[in-house]
Amino acid sequence: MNDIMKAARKQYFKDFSWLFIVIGILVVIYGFRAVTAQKTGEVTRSNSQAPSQRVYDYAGSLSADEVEELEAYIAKMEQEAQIDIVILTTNQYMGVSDYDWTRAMVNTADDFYDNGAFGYNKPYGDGALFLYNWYVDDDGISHKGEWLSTSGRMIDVIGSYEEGEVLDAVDREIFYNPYLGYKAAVEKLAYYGKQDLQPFSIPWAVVVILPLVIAFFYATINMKQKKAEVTVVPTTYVKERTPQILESRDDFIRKDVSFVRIETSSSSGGSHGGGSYGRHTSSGGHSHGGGGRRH
Amino acid sequence: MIFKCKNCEGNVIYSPEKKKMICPYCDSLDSETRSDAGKDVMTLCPSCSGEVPVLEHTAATQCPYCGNYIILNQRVEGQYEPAMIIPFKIGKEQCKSMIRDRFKKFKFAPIDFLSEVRLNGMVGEYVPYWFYDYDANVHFEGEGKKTRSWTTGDKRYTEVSIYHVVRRMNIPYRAIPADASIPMPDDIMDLMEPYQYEDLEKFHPEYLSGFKAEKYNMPAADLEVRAKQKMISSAKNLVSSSHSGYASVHTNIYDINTSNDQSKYGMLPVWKYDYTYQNKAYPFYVNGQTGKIVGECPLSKKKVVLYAASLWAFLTIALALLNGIFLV
Repeated sequence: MNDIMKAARKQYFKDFSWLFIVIGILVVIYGFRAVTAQKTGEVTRSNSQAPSQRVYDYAGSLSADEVEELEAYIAKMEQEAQIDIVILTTNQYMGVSDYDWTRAMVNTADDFYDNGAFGYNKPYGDGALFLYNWYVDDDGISHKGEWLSTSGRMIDVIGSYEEGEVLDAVDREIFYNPYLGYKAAVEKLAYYGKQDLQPFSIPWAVVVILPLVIAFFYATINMKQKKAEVTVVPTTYVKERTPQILESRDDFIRKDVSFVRIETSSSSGGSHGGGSYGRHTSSGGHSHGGGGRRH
Repeated sequence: MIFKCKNCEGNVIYSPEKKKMICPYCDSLDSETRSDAGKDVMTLCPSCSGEVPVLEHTAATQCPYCGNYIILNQRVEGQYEPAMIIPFKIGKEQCKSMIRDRFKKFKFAPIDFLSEVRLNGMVGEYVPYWFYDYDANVHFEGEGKKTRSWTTGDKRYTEVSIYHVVRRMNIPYRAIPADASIPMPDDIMDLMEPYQYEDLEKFHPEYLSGFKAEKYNMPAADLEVRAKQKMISSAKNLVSSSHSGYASVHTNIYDINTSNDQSKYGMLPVWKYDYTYQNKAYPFYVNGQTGKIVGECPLSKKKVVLYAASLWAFLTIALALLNGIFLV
């Protein structure tokens, strides 16, 4: 029995040898990466042209303490995400029509970013600006709304889905507490900026659940077996494997033809405009992306 | 009867590998002499006079004391003499390696399932069979439908053509087998088929030396129902395949008459491996001519859990490391 146990153990290690090899290789790569990453260190900010101020509350929506706290928060998040994050608030007329309003918001946001020469890696480089206009005119027409202007790698990072996520996070807070609304924008932008620094990562839920699913299927498939296949065919016991055909007739009797009318359906549809404003070039000649919402 | 070696008096047995009689003691080939001493007392070994367990249908067995193979004259002669036999083509060693090959990829077999000790317990046995001949005359008439559809403008047309289908055929069935052994499960024996009849030979008791055997447990008439079921099923399939061009066929007349019904008695070779796991028997049968294996391997729950859990754990570690590499 001892020999049988030894053989079973040997078989077990043989069956999983490929996985041991894979794990071994991954451990070596992981170790190598860990050592080289320490040597490389963090990427430091390399744009000295832009001002250090990040919060420009021209609408006066924040207290002095809140501005200070937001500046500190942005400074921390910028380092982690390696992007510049600028908060700009205004209180000005932006045009009545949606078209004019959008143009004004885009230009305000893009120009402010360009004039400040913001960008973590270089002037006009990686970063994003969040603009909020608080203006309501004397006739009660609201010019309120938000705009996100992205630059550098953030143009690609913030797609329409991410943009929606950022603006949703802002909208949940901004009407009750502008400070929390801006903070939400900073947090979300930093989150996506940071996520982009990792070229690829498997969600941890997948790391745990996928092997569980594979193990389940592995067990199920390997448990299946059949006693044996039936290998007898209809002619197995027929002499010379061929029946003698005495008569084989197919007499045509009648034909029935019927038809049905094919129903055709037509539908009409329309398209609705979105709030995204794809990659474009600002008046300063720099590339921006982004989008916004009028409230 | 017993077959003894002319040179050393050892018990000579039939070797499937060599297709000859061989003395396992002095390796002589075809050196056997038949001894009928003590043939009238079936329960005593003619070699050592030890008591041999002989059941109602035993035709050949092994003495539990001296290990010699004894063939019972009364059970292989006269009315019990088989008309034909397929001798073993696959020896024990070959059979063991075939079972190993078949189940080596089955990860969840108990660890001793393919062990030498267990596989050595395999026994070769000749199973009694009745073979039935029929000349079947089949008459089929029915209504066949063929459908065709096409579209013109906004109309989809369907055309159904009806045919009167007539088929008459003579099907000469030869040697439809039905095992005449009560201990052998019918479904298993059916799965062992087909045997290749080109190896059928005239019966010689020498083929039984080295194996166990049974005489038929019941007369041919008792098993005819099984043979006819096989014939009817085959005939139906042949008729169906002759009108397979129809979308559907409704049967109006279906007659099968048989003539020249005959039955013959014969023996076919089977290796049996009785494996017991957690007090449950898992019998395996191997066709002694073709090597077809019939049987289900028991599952070792411990191995299922160990292998699935290991795979889960190792894959999780591998994925976590992969993630770690990207996150560093």
